[in-house]
Amino acid sequence: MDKLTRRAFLRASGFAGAAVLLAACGPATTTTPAAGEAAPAAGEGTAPTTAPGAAAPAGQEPVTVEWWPGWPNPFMTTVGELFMAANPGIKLNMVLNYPEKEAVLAAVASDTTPDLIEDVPYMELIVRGVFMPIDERLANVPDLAVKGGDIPDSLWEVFAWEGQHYGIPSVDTAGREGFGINLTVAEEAGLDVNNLPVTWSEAFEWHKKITQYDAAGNVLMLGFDPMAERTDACTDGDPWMWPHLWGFAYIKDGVYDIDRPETVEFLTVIKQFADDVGIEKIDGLNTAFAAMNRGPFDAGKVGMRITYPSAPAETYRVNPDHKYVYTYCPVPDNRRGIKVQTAGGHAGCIMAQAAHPDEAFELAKFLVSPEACEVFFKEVGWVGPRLSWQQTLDLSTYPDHVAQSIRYFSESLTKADEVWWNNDPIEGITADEWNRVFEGVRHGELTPEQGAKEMQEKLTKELAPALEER
Amino acid sequence: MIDVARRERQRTMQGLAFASPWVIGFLIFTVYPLLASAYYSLTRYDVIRAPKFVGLENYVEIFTADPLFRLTLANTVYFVVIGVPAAFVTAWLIANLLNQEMWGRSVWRTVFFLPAITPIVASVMVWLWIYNTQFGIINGALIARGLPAIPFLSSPKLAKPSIILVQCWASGNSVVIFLASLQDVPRQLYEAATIDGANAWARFWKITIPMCTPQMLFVLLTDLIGTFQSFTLPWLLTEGGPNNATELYSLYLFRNAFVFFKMGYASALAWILFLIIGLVSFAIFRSSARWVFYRGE
Amino acid sequence: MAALESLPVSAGAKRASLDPVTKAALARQRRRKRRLRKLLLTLLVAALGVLFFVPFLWMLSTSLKFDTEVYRIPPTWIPQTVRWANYPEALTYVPFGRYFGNTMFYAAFTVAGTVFSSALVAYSFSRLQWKQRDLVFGLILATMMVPYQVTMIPQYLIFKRLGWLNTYLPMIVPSYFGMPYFIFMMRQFFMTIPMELSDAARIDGCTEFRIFTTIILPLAKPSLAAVGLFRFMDCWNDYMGPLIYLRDTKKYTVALGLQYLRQYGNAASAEQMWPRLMAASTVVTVPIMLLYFFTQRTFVEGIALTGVKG
Repeated sequence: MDKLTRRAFLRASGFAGAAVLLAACGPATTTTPAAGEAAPAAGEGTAPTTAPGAAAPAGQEPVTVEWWPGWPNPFMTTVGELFMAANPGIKLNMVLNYPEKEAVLAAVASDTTPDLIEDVPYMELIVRGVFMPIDERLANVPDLAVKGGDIPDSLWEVFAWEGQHYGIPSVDTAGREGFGINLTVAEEAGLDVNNLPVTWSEAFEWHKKITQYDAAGNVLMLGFDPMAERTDACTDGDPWMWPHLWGFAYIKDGVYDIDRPETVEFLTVIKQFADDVGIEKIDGLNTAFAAMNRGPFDAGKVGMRITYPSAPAETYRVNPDHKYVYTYCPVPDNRRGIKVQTAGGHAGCIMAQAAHPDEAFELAKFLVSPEACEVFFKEVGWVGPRLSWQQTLDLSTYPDHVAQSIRYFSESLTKADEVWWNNDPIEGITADEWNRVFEGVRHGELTPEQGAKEMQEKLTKELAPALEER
Repeated sequence: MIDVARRERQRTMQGLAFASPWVIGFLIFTVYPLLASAYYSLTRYDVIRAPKFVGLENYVEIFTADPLFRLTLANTVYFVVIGVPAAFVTAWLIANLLNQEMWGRSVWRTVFFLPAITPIVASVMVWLWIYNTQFGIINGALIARGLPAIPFLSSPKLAKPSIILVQCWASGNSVVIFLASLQDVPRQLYEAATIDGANAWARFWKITIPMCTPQMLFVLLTDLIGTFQSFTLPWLLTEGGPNNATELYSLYLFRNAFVFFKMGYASALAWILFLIIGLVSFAIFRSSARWVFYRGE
Repeated sequence: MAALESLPVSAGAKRASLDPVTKAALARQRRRKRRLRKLLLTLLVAALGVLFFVPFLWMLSTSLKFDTEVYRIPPTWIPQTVRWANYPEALTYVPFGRYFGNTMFYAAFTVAGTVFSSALVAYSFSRLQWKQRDLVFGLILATMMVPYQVTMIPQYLIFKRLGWLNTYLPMIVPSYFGMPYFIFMMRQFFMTIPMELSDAARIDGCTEFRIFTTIILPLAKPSLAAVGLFRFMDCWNDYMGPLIYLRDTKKYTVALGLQYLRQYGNAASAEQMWPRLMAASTVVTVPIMLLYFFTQRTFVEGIALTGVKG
């Protein structure tokens, strides 16, 4: 209640202030207020309309929905145009921007948010009531059932809090981790590519065999840096895949469970790779290529990596001659044979303050429609989460190893033995803390035991204030 | 008596009238935000929900239980104590060189100033590419000769000096200010001193430096303040890494505000930074009466 | 100050008694010595200058390369095959022409506001004597010390209430209220203009505003130009302001456009990434380079307190 009154106050005073000053200061172009409330275009969204201005005559002018698509790339514009063509009653005001946190936060703070948004720190905004729960609306859309629908159940839970769901998984949401192996490099090192490593000790053996140095000690070929991409919190990675691979959730029912022997174990594994080559050399190699889709793996300088679902198609575009394959990540020796996957990605979330939640819901649905999935896949190689669409995926244009890799990502959530996700209300702090512990351990300034202990204490201390009622 | 007081008041009114644009701007864009953030610093505030008053809790935590506060402050002090003098001396030496007679002076001036006016995002990209451990112009050559590459930005030891080097490279603003003040030293002073038997070294110390002190004060203060708040360069170049080596105070502050959703805590950090900068600047400004020489007065 | 007082300004009697031949020979020798010195200095500065220029050469060189050559060891300075296409590609992926116009537009208003308001305020703190003046000036300096992050959110809320989000106004309007850095800079200039000039005008009955506009401003013209140029460069470089206040990529500035290219330009195609980034960086740097080259006289003089030569 407190929150609502404050927002109402901000809104009111904002309007009053603006009215006085606008006369002198020219037009304000923040949001385009819609003239009328059109009926929900596609019909299924029958949830009660809560938007203001509903008294205006219906169906006269198209409703304008403000959308922050997150990626300011042409493929988003394409999807937006397709949506408008399919929904003549809805006009999109696409604000192509970077979803920089400061911009999003400033917008939320000042209550000038759009109707629909993606690529933001989801959990943190969800627990703070920034998004609208959508369960009521979803109840009317059978294929989008959160259990047994056309999107894997686990993905819905990534954007859920206290039993309610806050986003429709879309764009490139899937199993997040894939263990990629450069087959050419492995074969050159005399390794048997029909027996890929499945445990971390095997992966380390492969790493040792692949890694090569020149006479001065420069790395010519790096076997494996498990921290290079998805597993390093630094670049929006998923550091939490480590506890998942070791078979535990680091946060459960609002309690952190990090200071345990398994954490020490995986930090020791991480340290083992860093110490073997030298952390500065590894970091140097990783940043040398410094491009999202053109890391050292794509350049053929690294034998193995753990990375994200769009990687197979992207590598193929950069380097079509590359021979690689993606499979489940290595697990500790005592869990040999278990296939582990982490669910995650992006979702279209309706802002709690959205002026047009019904239309925004239509748009969020459209982002996971077969048409949209097709655009994402064709233009950037991103595999959308809709299972029925994944069945129709035409991979014939790709060589076998690429097709096999893409299929791995699309099927991993349904075929894995364990699927994990986390609902961490202070994900920003947690990711930063993982990063500091990883870095400290890799640079030899923290022992794995210290790292596990410090992180447990720090996060436990931070969680309570974040969740308290305000 | 009354007349004097009235004239006094009149002059104050006049002074304030001229300063009024700033006074108004100060109230709107500084005082109000400062008061707001001072209040936030006493709250738990995540920018989304209403702030919750917690008294001095944030400050207590910063001073008693936050190792990163100490670490990032120490990193920042490193940049202030090493980086600021390094850039200052570089700029002063270059300005003195450029003030001599030579061919193509305007070209050289442009060359030394250019880094300062290059958009910071462009500088960052160019230096990332120069410092590149594989294909950078230095490391590529080293590797080709069979020598070990230098991990400019990936070594915690080298990352700070590497950033300071970029700052020295981009100190063209100070070069121009120094150069201008050098050119303004009246020629007669040098001529008179030469005739009087003062050698170049003595002229430099007794004329050049004293005559340039107002600009030196300006450069020193603005560099100092800029360095305490330094954000964009380390943020885009290293994001605070490796292993927190370049995690400056302002980066940590930013993280608290916009990544950790702890605006209250960030406001407290900001106020502490504000006070530190204020104290240091005050000390320098106080001392300036002894070493700065204004000709107009 | 003590240092200066110890120098007798009126001493020129020593060299009168040399014969003309010796004088000519001495002059020639001096000239030769001066030329040698000039040559050595030029070489020294050139060497340093090249060092400072290396990043730009490296940028230019990379901007003309093919990917295959970019990732080659040892690196090459002169591209073996020149690929001009990097430029049009970089400039079309991100509409730099438009961003150039946007930047110019908001920079023009910002510069005008900064120059006038800062000069006015600086006048008060350098040429007028009033009670508490230095205390208030201390406040101005203090505002320079306020970290941006402290005031950002409250300021954002103000601009939001004014309905100025996604416009250039939050970046333009504050500059009409005087920027501390430039007030400080101009105060330092104004301080060096002899007070007698103002005093004489005051005796003639001039108002302060007239003294400001007719005596001080013309004398300070070059320094106003310098402030304007500095401010223009700030606008050209500003990253945080546009990032927070501009939502729409159509309204982006050049600096944002560059970062946009860096972050998203390769999401759809990763080939030629470094060359394109370097091409865009070159394009963004060149206009400002030319601007400075052609205005540097004004610039340096402006800072050089022109009013008090001799």
